[in-house]
Amino acid sequence: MKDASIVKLFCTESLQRIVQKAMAIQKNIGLMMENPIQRFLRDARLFKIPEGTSEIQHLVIARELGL
Amino acid sequence: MDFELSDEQKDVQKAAREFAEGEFDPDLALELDQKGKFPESIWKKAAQLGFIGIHYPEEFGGQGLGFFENLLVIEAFCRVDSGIGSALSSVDLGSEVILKFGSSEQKNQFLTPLTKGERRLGIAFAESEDSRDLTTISTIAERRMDGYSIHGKKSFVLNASLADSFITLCQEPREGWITLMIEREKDGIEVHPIEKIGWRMIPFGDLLFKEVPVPTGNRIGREGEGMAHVNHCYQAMGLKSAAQALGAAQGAFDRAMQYAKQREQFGKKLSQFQVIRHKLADMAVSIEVARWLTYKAAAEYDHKRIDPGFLSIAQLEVGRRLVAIVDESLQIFGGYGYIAEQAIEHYFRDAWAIGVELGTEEEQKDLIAEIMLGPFTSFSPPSVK
Repeated sequence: MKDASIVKLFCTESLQRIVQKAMAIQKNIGLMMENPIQRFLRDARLFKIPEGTSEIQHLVIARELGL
Repeated sequence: MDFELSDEQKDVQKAAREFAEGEFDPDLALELDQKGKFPESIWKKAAQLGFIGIHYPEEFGGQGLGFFENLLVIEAFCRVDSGIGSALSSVDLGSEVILKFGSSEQKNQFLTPLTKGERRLGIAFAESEDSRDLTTISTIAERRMDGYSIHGKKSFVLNASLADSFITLCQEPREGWITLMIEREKDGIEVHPIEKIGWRMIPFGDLLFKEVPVPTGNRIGREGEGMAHVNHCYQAMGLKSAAQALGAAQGAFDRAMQYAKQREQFGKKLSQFQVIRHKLADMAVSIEVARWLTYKAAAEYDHKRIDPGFLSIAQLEVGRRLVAIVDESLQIFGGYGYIAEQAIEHYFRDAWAIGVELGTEEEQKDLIAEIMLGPFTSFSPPSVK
């Protein structure tokens, strides 16, 4: 349970961080709808929410640690 | 040093806030955002009430207030809606150049109709994808009997399909950089629209000029001054974007606060979870930072003591805070924040457009470092044999 939460938390947060960097590097080209990176940004944003938000994953990890 | 707004400034802020809350209908905002339409009727009303060009002298239709007051209006508008607020504050793009360098006739011709809600402006400076890279300008202004003939292509022009005139940076073969006001109704102008993720109420596009005639009277200032105009314009635009960012961040925060107080999860309000309380506290800190950086830069602009280093510091930090605040606000909404009916969804997309206008973190760091340390020379380590 703890491992699953860690993986979900880390991967979804990393995904967003990486996509945001990729978006920022492209500057105004990144804003263009014809550029797939804006879709990555919108899609990546979702993953921090379903199946337990990042905040819930923190709670689960803390609980599994015995806190 | 006084950190209190004057009574007049508080009145401006209050009037702008009340106007926005009364007129910026959330359903209309959603519709305009999805269809990519400019908020025409709200713009006309805002102009009638004097919100457009509030900082122009009274003889040119303004209210004779400072640029600071203009930023208070922009902040209040973007707080209520990031899309409509940004669109209304972008109708006078480039007007700062006319205000500082233009003749009285030009101010009458271009600024007065702006304040009446009759005309809109656009800026056409950059030609590559990078809006700040002006080293590749090839738009040529050839001298003719009674003016110039313009030939070239401009990229990522704000208000491309909307503006009545474009303030355009060109090369005059002998004298160098010049800025000209090019009227939309002239023949030889082609617009290629660009669809984009945020700021959907403000049309972007590429502009193609083919032998467009421009009278000498439409030249701002003197020949060769173009780069000074562009620098001044970017300083004013940087400040406006900071105010847009501040307003959008505050608007996202307001919505997250309200939602956290009403939404229940596991039998208690979201606002009773420490993780949410700390998020909101962090966001409140960020907004204070963004506000005072923006206000200080704005006050310096009005006192004609612009410090480019400080402006970059403000733009960098405000942009960074905006993206983080909007992201955290959306997170507080959870899955509900991801659907279009919630305004926070377009705040998330608009934040990226405002962020681009503020310049990337790397660009601003380069500028700040250059002021502190002098020019940068790239270094590659010697190869080991």
